Amino acid sequence: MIKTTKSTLSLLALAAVVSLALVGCGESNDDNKQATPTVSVTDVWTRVTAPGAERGAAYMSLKSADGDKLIGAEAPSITDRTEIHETTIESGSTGGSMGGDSMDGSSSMKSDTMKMQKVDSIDLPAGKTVMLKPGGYHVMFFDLKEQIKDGQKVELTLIFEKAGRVDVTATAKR
Amino acid sequence: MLTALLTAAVLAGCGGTSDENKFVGMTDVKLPDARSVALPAWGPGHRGEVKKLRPHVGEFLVVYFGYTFCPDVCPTTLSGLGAAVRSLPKTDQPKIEAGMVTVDPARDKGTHLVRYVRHFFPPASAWAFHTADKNALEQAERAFAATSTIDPHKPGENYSVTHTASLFVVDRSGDVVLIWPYGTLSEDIASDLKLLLTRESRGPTGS
Repeated sequence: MIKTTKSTLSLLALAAVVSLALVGCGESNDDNKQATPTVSVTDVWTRVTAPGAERGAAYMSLKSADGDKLIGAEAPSITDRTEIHETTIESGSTGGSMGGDSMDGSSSMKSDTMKMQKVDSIDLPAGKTVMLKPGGYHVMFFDLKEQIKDGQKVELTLIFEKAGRVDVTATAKR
Repeated sequence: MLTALLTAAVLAGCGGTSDENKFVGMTDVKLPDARSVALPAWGPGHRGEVKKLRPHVGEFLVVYFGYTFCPDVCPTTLSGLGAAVRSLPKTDQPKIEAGMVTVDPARDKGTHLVRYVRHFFPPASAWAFHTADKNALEQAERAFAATSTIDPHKPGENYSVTHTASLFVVDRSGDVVLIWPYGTLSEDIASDLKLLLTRESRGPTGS
């Protein structure tokens, strides 16, 4: 009887330690309420646009402790239409007649054709930093209401599947 | 062991921006047809007159195939090239001209396009090439081993263009002497430009 109690107690103690450790890993988990998961958004910037350019792009680093998805973005001060896009290098050779002074000494030029496509979401695996950067993922602005000027602050709302709406500011640079 | 480490450290120090006499871009270029390419041009003294794709008054013309509705790759590339040119000594900057051939002639007009290019380069060095003739564009692209495809879309709908994103350096005789693939660092472009101008000032290299 006593023995059982002891082992139960030690199990309880172990459980307590484990749950403490788990809490320690999380950001601010509340035991009773389901806290809203957070996504850390850093290095948010947008590129200055040329006069008359109708489209723009914003870049940033995203990290979710528990895993999340970026599913949308809004920037109503500069555009009524914002999407998530990805630029990729299109596979296949260009078939050009360029010789190889390249590092690998190959005799054919690697494909340098860039394709841009809309994506429905960007997956944020738990604990992993995902970069939105030139030539990759970006938040894309359509039909810009005005030119984005150097140093301008653009208010941007990011929409995540779990974390919901997150307001950030993108600083414009060249 | 220590020696190996030191050697590695020294080598690592040279990474990225290459040594003095080697180009980062691709130099073994064989694009003989590029010499004959001529397209309607907008730039200093030009408002649509057909002009060969070679420098106007400078030493080199850097040619890019792109479009102004391109929000990511084109501004990134042109901005990197612009920064590289601005990093050169003031007297050398006018020797480098930049010309953009639009792969989206339906939406890019010549006057609009040249304004766009002037966002990245001084007006005296900025060129725009626009042709509404599909065959002329394709011929120009072929000469540079470049391609472009307008993505399928419904009429009136927004679209993007899949296109070659390299920068082509053309000398005064119209030869493509160097290619920077997409993603070449601005610092590397700058060091290549310095090397090109050094060679140029020494006279023809016969290459």
